[in-house]
Amino acid sequence: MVIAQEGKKQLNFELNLLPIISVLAVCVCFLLMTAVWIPIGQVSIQQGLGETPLGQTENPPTVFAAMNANGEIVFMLKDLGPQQTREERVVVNGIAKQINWAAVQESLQSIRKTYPQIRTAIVMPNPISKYDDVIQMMDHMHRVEIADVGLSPF
Amino acid sequence: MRSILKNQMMQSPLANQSIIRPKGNRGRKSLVITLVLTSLVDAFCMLVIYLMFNISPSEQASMISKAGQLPIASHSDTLERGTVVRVEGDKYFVNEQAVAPQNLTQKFQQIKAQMGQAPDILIQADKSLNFSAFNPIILAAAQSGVHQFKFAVFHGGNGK
Repeated sequence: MVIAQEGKKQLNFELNLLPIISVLAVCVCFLLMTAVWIPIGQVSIQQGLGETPLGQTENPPTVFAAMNANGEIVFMLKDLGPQQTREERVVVNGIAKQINWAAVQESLQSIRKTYPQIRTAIVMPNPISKYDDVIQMMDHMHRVEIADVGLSPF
Repeated sequence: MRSILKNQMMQSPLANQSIIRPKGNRGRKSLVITLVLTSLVDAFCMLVIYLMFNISPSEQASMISKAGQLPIASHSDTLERGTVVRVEGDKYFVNEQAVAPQNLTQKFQQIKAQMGQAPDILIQADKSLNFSAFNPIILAAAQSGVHQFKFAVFHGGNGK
């Protein structure tokens, strides 16, 4: 842009940056809003594959959650320590062949309160367990701060 | 006679600050504070480029459309990239390639050989499927030395 001023042509060129900043600000806002709008996440699990050496001393305290066909959930507590004389079992009955999630949550909270050293869980679904129920079970485990959740194939 | 352009021209604050040949209001001190916007434009550009590369809505949008209804989990992590295994009834798609159930082990081993390490399996399926549909995947992954599984879910909800 040549500015004519008192007969002398000035070759200075000044670009108005305000519109550029406005456009970039709109792009940033759009990207931030679309990032929040996408609701997909992931539930991660890690499976052991016999990497444990034979010389390992002891297994961590673990809760096994068996999902039976009639909506019944059986929690089995193992490897709680030398003070454990027998296997602890907690049975949560289903309602109309559906899992009673409120009772499951209460049982898990009670187990965690009684045995705070439990940080590992294994979910054992049966072949006709719904995928949604399996995910819900893992989600309930994470809610009571059981971080290491595994999935046992049948 | 002043030209129309000169009358309508925006006075440059930078040019006004010149000591040798100030433009505009000569002899007067301009109180306009000159703001250097170049660095601000650079910062915005970097922000836009970073957000464009790190957020890929197209991949996630296709996951929503093809997966049917994903399960909902209240405690879920941010979705990460991985080897996508999509389950539709009794059909399995690994990275959008149809794979027979008996060939899943071979497919995972191929991917592991290509990547040089065990891949992270991202399982994507409708929530109404039975767990029996996922058993071949878990067994095949175990045989291939894959031990990290991720299940695609929707954020949110207080669960059941």
